[in-house]
Amino acid sequence: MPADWRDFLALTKPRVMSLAIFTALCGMLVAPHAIHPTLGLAAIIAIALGAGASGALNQWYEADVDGKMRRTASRPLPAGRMERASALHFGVGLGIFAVLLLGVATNWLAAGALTVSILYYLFVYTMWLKPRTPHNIVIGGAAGAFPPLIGWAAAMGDLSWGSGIAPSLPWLMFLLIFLWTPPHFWALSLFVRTDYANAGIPMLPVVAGEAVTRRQILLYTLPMAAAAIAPWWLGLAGVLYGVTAIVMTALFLGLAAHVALRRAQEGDAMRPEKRLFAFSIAYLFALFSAIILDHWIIAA
Amino acid sequence: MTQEPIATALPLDAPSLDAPSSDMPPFDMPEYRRRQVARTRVMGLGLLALAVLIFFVTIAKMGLAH
Repeated sequence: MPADWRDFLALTKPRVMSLAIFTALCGMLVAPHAIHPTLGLAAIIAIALGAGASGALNQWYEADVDGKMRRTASRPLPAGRMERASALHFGVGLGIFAVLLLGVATNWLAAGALTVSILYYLFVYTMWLKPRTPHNIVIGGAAGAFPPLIGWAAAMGDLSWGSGIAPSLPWLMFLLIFLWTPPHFWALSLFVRTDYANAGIPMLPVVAGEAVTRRQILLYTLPMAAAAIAPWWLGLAGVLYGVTAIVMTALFLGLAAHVALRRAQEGDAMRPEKRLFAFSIAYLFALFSAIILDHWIIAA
Repeated sequence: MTQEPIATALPLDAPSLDAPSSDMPPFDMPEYRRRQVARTRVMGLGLLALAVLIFFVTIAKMGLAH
């Protein structure tokens, strides 16, 4: 029986893809050089397809592990709705097509960055770090931080660092997502800890325990807070962004501190952890939306 | 001259290897066709969208070149 087209769509992890699209769009829109709208649309489609390829290749490689976790057992491969080879062919084909489309529509620097992000997610995060170290998400988080860089590169054809130790805006956006990823994923891993343990994935709560994970969430939130406020502090974003970043980061710190200071009881519903996880998604959307709005206000 | 036996692996009265076993679910032909048609449509629409996108990308690049 051939797999349903919806299974191929599920293979691309549409929710993760939406975050990549949004952050890439932000990177593109805040670039000083405006990209042609048609080429911008093609670039966003290419980045979305590249993110989809990463998701498909991740699910192809982790099919066995996904089958052991309640959260992922209903995915097309572990549920037996699709053959593994189909997922591999789909992921490779989609990835090659996405890179070529981005290179043709914009420039080969952006296409190169997209290639690096796909390969990094597959080889560095999925194959190498995830099954080996509890710091998988710290280093592997860089894969999810690429889209604003790619969006900026598509518009500018340039990815220079900035001046001295002060990074440029796209690198600050990269840094923000990079430092946001550990508290975001560790909050999730606290309430799906058993799943990860059953699958043999050495996530921090499984290897080091809950108390250490809670402490690490708060510790990683501190540099994330600095990265969030830095664009305004360095004069790369205006007051609207500054106020949004300060308010939202204060709330993030509050929720992270609550998670860090509590201990889960037997049969705990893990509400503070779930709240932190949900808020962390809204946090990133709010900050990146504020960067765009701020950019438009300054431009006007 | 000796003649080689043609098929000695299975006795003549053995059930066909292609015959469905009793524990297999019956093959759902309408569902098979539905999925095939749906996949063909999605693929067709995707290729059409791609052709339109490439066309407009070309026009935009030609405009930028001039």
